[in-house]
Amino acid sequence: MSLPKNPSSQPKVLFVDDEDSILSSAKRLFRGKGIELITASSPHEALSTLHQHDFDAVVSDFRMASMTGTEFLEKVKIEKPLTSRLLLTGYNDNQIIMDAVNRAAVFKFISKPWIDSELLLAVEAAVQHALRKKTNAKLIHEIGEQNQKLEVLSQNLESEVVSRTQSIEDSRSQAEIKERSVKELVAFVKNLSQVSTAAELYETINQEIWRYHGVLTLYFLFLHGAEKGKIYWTQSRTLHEKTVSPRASHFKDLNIRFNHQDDRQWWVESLKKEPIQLAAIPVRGRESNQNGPLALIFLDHNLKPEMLNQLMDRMTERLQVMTIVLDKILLAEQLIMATEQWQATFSAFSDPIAVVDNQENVIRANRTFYKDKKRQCYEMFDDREEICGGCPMPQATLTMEPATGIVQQSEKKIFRVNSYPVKAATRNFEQVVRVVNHYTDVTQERELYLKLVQSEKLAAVGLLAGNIAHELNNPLSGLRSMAQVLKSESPENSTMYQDLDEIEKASIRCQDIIRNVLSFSETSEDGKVASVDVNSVVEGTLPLLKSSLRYQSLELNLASDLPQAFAQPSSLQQVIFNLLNNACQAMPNGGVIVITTWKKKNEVGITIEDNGPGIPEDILKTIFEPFFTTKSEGQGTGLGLSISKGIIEKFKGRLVAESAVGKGTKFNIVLKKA
Amino acid sequence: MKVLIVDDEVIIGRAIQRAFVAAGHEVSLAHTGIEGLEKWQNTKPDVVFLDVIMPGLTGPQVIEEFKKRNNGKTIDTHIFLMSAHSDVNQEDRAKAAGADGFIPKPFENIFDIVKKAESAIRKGDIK
Repeated sequence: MSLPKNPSSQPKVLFVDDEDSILSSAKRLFRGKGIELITASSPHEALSTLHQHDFDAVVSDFRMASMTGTEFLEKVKIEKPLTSRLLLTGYNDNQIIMDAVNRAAVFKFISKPWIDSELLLAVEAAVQHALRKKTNAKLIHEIGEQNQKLEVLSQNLESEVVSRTQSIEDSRSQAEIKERSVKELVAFVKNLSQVSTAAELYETINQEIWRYHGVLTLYFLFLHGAEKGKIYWTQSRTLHEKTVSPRASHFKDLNIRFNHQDDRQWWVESLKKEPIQLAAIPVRGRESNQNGPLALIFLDHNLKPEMLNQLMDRMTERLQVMTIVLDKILLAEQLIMATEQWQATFSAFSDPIAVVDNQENVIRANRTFYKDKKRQCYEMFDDREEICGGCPMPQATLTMEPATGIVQQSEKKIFRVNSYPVKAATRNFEQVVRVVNHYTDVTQERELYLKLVQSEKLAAVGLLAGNIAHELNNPLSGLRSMAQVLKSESPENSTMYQDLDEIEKASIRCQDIIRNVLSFSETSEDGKVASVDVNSVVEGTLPLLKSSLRYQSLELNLASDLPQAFAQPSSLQQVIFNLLNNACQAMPNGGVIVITTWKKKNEVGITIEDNGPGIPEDILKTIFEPFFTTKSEGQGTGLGLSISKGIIEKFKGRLVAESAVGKGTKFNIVLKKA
Repeated sequence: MKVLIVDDEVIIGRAIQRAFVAAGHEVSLAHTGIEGLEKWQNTKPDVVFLDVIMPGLTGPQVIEEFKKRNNGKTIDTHIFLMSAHSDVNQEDRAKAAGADGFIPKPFENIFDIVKKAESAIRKGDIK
């Protein structure tokens, strides 16, 4: 092994002995030997010197005044462990050697007095040993340092990798979040596109916030103008709605509000409950000319601020699309409202009304128009397979002008139909696209009209009968007169005379009939009310009834001392005839008719009684109404009783009916005594 | 006396004729107004019975025409109008038309007419 060339890097050795001569001889020995020898005359001096230089070896005498060499070297071991320690001792004592090795880890023992070459070799070996130890220590230290550096490096690298990985993962999850939120937004928009009512919109928004557990209830207030609104919410999974008055002026505000005092106050007043935390999100309509919002979303919640913000971000993101939907809903609601109004107006008509298109399909009809919902107007109106006869619809379509017609339902109801064409311009020319049909029930009107026609006919027949009677009278006079003349020329007992007498009698009978027909056909206005012998009027009526009285028998109870009554003979006769005729017709298979005349105070009466089937009570009330009849067509006009009543009342009298079903009917003509 | 009966109803004419003939009077018959007018002119009857309603000239028209033909001179014939269209005013209307009396149809007794005519003639003597 070679010592370092650089003198500054010469090995340094500390030599300690309290005898100066020994120190001097040591100095001499090591001069020029490539070792810098520094001496100390006491352990204390040596210990302080020890810190001033970096010694490779320390040589110490065992026997020193202040402490032993072993004690001293022990301290050196502690202070400078890499420095090699050598002990000079004159004692060959095993105890000392063992102690020095154990306590101070002495590298070599040198016997005193030393042999110079031995000392030199021992010191050089100790220096070498120290140098080796130092080099080792240095190497170990360097390796340690390197290791440490390496460790740091690897640690850095690792954390770099971790952070890189993290950032990659972060960016990926952020992209995922973004993608998900976009997807959710798209889904929301898609859901919204299906929405057409405020309630549906409520459901859609509710789906958006269900995952925010802090939201207790979502409320959706839809404003119908400044005074009216409808609020929707769910409670026990059921959708509730309530009409409210959003009077508060702050509802004009378009900013999101949290726990606003006005909101809360309105809330308590309107919904009678206290919200925990109240967030209000106004939503404006896109094209509505309203100044404020068209709707408000309220959240009753106990969300943490962080979550609330997140939810608000989410809602804000969706406000724009909601705006569009709100307009749609508003329009739909207005449409529904208009439709409802129109429908209500339509149903308010008691007359049937139908809107019908070109193919006779009913577009709309009110409830009185149909029994069952069907396609075609004629199916609905009358269960027909083709258009109703008389329907003016084709004419209205063709002429483009309103048209009128008469339609009869199978149930005999008659309707006047007014068809009003609805025109629309299509491809440059006007066309009737549909027709509004208005039906008026004219059944009664029509029946009255027919009866009137009938009664006019009757009047004409009466007039004709009068004329015929006159025409008959003439030849009849001749016949009668001729019979009289011829009779006068025949012997009274001859067959000729008797035959001529029969001719005369027959002529007289004919003339009686004619006279009665004439008096019957006279209108009541012709005659003046005067004193009338009621009995003779009754008797005068009977010949007219011969054709009616076939199976019925007639009993007469005429009062003998009957005073005269106020009446007009021919009219009174007409009334008696009517009543008797009715009695006959009520008993076509026979029965008894009793005619009684009577007086009572200042009244004179005629009672006509039959033992026919009688008249039920409900019908009895209506028998005096014009055109009331139970007779089949051709048998009566239904005017008889009404006219009769009118006639008697003109005489200041009264016509009264009494009846019992199964027993018969009684009519009393009560007249004023003359 | 001479009697003229104008009636389109043949049997009436013949019945009246028989009644008057039986009473010994001279009777001529006419069945239309025109015929009646001719016979009135030609036979110069004391009594004329005229039916009111006849085809052609009516009873009153026959009287009017007869007066016209006699230039408004007083007619010494007794004129009776007859009709089945009888009412209270017929007597007055008959007088207005220039007749002396009205006989409603049907006749109760044909011989009453004869009596009526005979009494009219007697009164006519005074007239």
